Amino acid sequence: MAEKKPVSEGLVDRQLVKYFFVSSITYLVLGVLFGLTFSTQFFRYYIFKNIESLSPGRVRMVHTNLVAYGFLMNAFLGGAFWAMPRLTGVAVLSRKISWTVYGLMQVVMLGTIFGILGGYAQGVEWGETPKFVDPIMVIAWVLLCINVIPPIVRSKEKNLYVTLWYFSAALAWTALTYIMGNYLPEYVVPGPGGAALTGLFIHDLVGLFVTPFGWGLMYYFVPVITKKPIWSHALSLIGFWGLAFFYPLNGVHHFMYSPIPANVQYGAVVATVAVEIVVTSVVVNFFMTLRGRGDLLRTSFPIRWFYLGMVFYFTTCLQCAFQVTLTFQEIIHFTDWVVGHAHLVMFGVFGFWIQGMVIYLWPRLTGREWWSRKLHGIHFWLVAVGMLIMFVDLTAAGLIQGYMWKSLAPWEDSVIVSVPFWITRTFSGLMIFGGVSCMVVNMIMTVGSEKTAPKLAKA
Amino acid sequence: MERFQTLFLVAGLGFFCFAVFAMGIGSIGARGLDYDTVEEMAETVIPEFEELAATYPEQFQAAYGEAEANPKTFADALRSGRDVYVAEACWHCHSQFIRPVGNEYLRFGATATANEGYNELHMPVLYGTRRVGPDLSREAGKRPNGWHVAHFWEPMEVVPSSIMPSFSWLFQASGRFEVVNSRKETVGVFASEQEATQEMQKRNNRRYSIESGEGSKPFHVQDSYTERVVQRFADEEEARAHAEGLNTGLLADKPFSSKAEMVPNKKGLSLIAYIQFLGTWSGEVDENPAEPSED
Repeated sequence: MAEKKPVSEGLVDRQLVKYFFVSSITYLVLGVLFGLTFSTQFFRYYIFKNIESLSPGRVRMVHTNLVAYGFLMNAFLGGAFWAMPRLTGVAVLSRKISWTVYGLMQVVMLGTIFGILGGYAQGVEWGETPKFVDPIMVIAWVLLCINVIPPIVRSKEKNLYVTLWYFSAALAWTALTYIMGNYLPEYVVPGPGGAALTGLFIHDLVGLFVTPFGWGLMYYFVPVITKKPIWSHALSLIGFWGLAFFYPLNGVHHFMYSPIPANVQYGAVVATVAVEIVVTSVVVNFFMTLRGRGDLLRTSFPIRWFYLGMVFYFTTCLQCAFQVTLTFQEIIHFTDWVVGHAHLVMFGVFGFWIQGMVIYLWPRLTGREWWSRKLHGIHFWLVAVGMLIMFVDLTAAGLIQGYMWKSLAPWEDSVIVSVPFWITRTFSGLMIFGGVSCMVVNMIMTVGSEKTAPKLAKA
Repeated sequence: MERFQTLFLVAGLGFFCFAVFAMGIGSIGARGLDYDTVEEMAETVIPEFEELAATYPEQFQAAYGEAEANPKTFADALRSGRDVYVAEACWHCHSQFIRPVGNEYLRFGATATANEGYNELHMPVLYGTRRVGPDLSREAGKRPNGWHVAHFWEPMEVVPSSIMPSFSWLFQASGRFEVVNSRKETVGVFASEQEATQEMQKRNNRRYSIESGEGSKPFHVQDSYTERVVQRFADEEEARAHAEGLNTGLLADKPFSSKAEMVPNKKGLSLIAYIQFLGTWSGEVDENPAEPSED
């Protein structure tokens, strides 16, 4: 376990971790703002009407890309640069390469924002990063691998800790997923084959980049904060290898009833249901780890964020096991149900975990104690309730849309009945924005505060 | 099991490549579909494209380098139309495949096949994953060019409940506020945009509705702009037939009011050509259509 090991101060580049998290939270705020702006188009209160570079379609693409390559990517790399040296006892190959990776990631994100707004989006969902950005991302990832693989290989621990299993595989997965998604459908495989690969890309980005980094960091932070080892080594093995085998086979479930060969679609359904079993094993493992320390849900904000995220994780995965079936797909595909699902996964799970990490790490990165603990509470409840409202609202809207379409009601009617749900969605987005703002204010005030925390700074 | 090399090579590279082969390349590549380039697809020029060339000769010439609607200019239009469709994220709100379930074939048209997507226009694939607006894969010829012009300029003026954004940058800018009909005949010139818009709305709001009177009959066909009963009919069938005639007339012959600014530029012309093409291409006929056999 990490905390049992003497951690030498020189291993972790605190400044780098801090910068990664500052970038991540900046993109989170931007991402929420872009999402909110887009959502107002749905009831025709769009403020940038008839401005080409801020048209709703482009703003929507910036929203999703900000979340993937801005918010999540930067936070996960920051978390990895914090945890990895502590788990291996070896520093990264070169700090210069680390900073180059950081710089390239910002180039990727800014290039994506301005590229998409300028009309250079690529026609791949979640891969709308303009074509000139794609090589930069690949170079950044290769540099990252060069930088962090040697320490893992030279690890001073005899056995690699589970966090490092996830990171090791995710290094390969993310590179392959990104290259496959951005290049094959664009230049090599058209039509149904391209759709199959696009489906793999959408899903692998969640399953093979976001999920392994997210769980890897949970396997690190939860034992560190609870001061308890993970409950079962065997379950974590099952969780990892189950994810590694079944998750890549899921993607085609984004295109059920499409011209993709039916046996491939059925295979994706089976693999998706299998993932749910794997997920259960991981979630059980974490809840058993917390056994006896349930008080932390009250006293520790990071643990509260982590475990609410895990409840949502189990919810989305259970939902997934049902919604991939052909019965559900007939009604819910193409509707807001899927949008609600996506928001719950990306923000309600991984976004929550990152916010928990920020609350744990920020004092340790700045050497200051949190400015206000009360603001943590407001932040938590606004975001958590906002997220829940958004999820329930969009799920309900999706069902109504799906049944109305099937009933052959005029298309306009299905739009008109959805408007109240879309207004509610914007309202829930405002709650999330309010909560996130509380966190940002708290972070800024903490940096400027007098309350130093020398004890934390050395941890 | 827990060494870096095993994790990286087996879980990272191995399982991933297996999945890509099994789910993506292997199953599709074996089906022997015939790949079509845009040039092949543009060999037969659709009538709507010829109409665009006739309606907007200057802009057409400026956009495609020649005044004629031929396979060369059509291929250019399809390609740039597809690029606009991608850049403006049309594909995030409109799907391009019709499923064999959910009565979709009744609403939109024939179920999607593998062949029709196996071409350059679906590279990258534009099936889409969300329908805020309707599916577009059978859109060809459903509405006249004038409808699309007015709709891209301001969707709400054509479909009052629409939440689609307007795309004014698909049009050329000009200073006059002129109201024209779909045949480009000037109906009136106005000093302010407001006046022109009022005139336009007056003309566009001519929608019909059918209402039954007291009891089961008679059926009224109502012009919803004037809110006046235009005619009475003995049964609903007769009323509907009349109303549809009224509607078709509205779309095809009656003035489609619009501003003079509403002259599409290259992006606009190409996007309309692209949308008017969707659904006309079926690809080579395949022995084994790749549709799920289940309902």
